[in-house]
Amino acid sequence: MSLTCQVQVILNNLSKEKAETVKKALEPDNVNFPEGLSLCVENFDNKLVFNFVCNESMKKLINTIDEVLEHVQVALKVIE
Amino acid sequence: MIGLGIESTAHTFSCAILEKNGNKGKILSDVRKIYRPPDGEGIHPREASRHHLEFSPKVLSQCLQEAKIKINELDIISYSAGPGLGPCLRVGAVVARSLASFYNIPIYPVNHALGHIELGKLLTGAKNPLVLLVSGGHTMILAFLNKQWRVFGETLDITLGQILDQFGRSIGFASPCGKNIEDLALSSSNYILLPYSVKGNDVSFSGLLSATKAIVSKSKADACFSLQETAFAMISEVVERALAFTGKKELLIVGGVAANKRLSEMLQKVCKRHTCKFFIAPAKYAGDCGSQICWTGLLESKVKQGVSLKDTFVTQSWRLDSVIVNY
Repeated sequence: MSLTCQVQVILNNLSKEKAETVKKALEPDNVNFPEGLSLCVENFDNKLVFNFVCNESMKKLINTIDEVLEHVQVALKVIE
Repeated sequence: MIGLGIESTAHTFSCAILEKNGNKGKILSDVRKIYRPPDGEGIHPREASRHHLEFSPKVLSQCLQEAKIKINELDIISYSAGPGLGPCLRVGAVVARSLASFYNIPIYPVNHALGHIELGKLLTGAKNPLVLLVSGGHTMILAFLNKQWRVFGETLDITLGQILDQFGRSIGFASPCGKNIEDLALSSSNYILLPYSVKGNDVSFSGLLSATKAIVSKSKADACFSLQETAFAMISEVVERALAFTGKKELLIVGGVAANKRLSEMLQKVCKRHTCKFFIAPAKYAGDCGSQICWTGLLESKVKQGVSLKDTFVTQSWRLDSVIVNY
């Protein structure tokens, strides 16, 4: 039996411009993910939604979420 | 034309702003923050990237202030896209992409090794040199031919910077250890025979590292002296052979280890024998810095309009000899 874990992270109250900037800044690194792990980023008006899906190591999932959120934070800081 | 360069391949997070007029470049600001691992330990990629994440907004802001430039006055943004440590490279790329996207500025991925060479040429005035690139990430002898830097010798295992750092850490120094080893080596003249490994025009340092660790219990100073003499003699031999083969009349040393005076002394003698001009990148800009990335980006902007954001990759093992130089 394999366990699949889905995590959704939503960033609210972002301007459309900032949400698009963060999405574009992170997307090119969204390649060569470890097997069993995926990330999809969607931009809806004033919010950015990150969908993580993992059916392997939870450690990989936690580390990926950690790194992605750190990148979101730095992207927002440098444009402010 | 004004550019911002972002460097984040390993220990250093740096932003620099340069102004380019024709073929001349002027450094308006170059701000760095360097990750220092605990004494005796090497770089941990994720810890280094966390350091870069923490300091990148401050470094950027100080860089803009010192250059008296606003972001919307920038004509291009360039970032180091490799080779380097993945987590560290991604921080620089995210900062560059965010600015490029939000302020609609053309963006250029730059090869870090090429950056060392181009900045070295700008600051020394070397025109067509044989290049010795020696740092923690590289040990290469290079010459330019038909739009590419060709490798005329390199390390088969660890780099010159790595052997100095790994040995230095084993005797308790903090990375980067080159300066400490150089200082300690000055207090000895007792050479202990160590393995000298030159294969064709390539060098191998891993056996030398193990052998140096094995003699350190007798005297740290003798070990440092013998390590430098052996490693630098190996480098000098392959540089001399490459000079003879290529017929180049200029030698340029770039990279963090270029700051070592004993290495310069040995290579100056090689140049004298070959009536070759000797150039060395100024110590302040020999190691990793934003200026190397910015200047290379500005040079590339002569022939390219920048790349689309979706193509702004990072590649941990991006070899210099695969880069086409069109400018």
